[in-house]
Amino acid sequence: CMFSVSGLMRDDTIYENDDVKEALRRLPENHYNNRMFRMKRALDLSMKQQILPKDQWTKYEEDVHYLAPYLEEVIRERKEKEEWMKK
Amino acid sequence: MTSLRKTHPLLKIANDALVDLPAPSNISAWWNFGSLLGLCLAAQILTGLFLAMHYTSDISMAFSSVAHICRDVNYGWLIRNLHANGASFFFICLYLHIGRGLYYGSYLYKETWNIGVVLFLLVMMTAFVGYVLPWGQMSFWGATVITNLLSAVPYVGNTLVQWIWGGFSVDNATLTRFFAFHFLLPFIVAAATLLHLLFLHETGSNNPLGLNSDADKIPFYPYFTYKDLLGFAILIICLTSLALFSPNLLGDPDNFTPANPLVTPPHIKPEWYVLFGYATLRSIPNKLGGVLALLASILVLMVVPILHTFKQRGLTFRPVTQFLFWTLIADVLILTWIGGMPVEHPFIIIGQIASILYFSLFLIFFPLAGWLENKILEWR
Repeated sequence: CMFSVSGLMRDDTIYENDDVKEALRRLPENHYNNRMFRMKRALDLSMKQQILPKDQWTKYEEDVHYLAPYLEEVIRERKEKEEWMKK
Repeated sequence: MTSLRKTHPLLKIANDALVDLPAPSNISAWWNFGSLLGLCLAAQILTGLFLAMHYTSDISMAFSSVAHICRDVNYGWLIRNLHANGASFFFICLYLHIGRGLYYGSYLYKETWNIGVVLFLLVMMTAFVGYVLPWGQMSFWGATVITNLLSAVPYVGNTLVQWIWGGFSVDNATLTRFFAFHFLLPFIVAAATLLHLLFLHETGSNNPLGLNSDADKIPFYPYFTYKDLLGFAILIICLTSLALFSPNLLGDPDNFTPANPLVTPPHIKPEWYVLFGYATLRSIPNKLGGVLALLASILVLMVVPILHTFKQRGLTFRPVTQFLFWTLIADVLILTWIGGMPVEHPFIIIGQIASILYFSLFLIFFPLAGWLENKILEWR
């Protein structure tokens, strides 16, 4: 039941709230395109009720948290904005 | 030239909902229950309409008018069986639909979800007033028990109950107005269903992976039109099998006895689909407490989106919470069993533990498991 059997990375599976949508907007094109490819492949596998062959599962070392820096920045900016709005 | 179905003011509404609607490619059989609920509603309205042509809601004739429908009206026996068992299938589809919503995190579509909870309450109310209409023993005494719960409301309780009854007990006035409610409520359900779909179509459907599916959408027609038609065929086969081979399997034998206010049945219980709530109600030895627990057992669903802690949508990639989900399902089945049992040892203590577990799962264990799984995946 783990996402690695569908060839996904951790950050591919994050729920897209407003912060995540903004972070995705800031992703470099190559990261975004790779993400799209993995998600489309996972959706197709899910439709066929299949998983990838074992050699194609996402390994722990390969699971780069590519979105985390952008997301942290977006959250930090939002919190700073909210602090200023309180004043 | 643009097709008429996309430009005509009426046709384009149907087109955008049933033909060109972008749907995720990977939605599974669990996504069939929405359309199946629509089919159940249509079937209940149709069969109910034909029953209403021959039913009389006066207490002197209600029971015998149902017998008249079954014996004398052409195919009345079939229409009655389809309507009674159709209600059970309505609730089977409802619980599977809600279960799908809980498992896959569909509740994050908050407006759609909350209208869904309202729909659930409306359908329960419809079923409750509908069950009174045959005016059998269980109809009368079930109505008496459930309407008496309203007397738990502080200060105005007794006045409220007598206002609902139209008198000082469940009697003719109660039956006639319950018939009116039972006729009216399905159309309110239909209107609320349209609102439910309106909000759903703002966002599009969820999918089993909980991912944004914009990368891989397919048109509703023909894929899900035919998939839904297959679902309809399976439901119709199951419903007619039950109605033709075992029409009284899910019913109570006491309802073959005409209502008698002077004779209380030894075991008063509602239909199977509300037994879990009945168990929760009886688990608290205080009347108001029990009523609040019954309400809370449904309204807790509205709290679920607020308590969602995990960064992923749905339980597909969350083994810990999956275990808790199936514990919840087992707990509801236990509560259903307990609701049908008499109030004796050991059913009392089992019911109380199961009720505590039910609320604990929603309010404590699911959020805690979400927090834990965030930590496991190193999400801050």
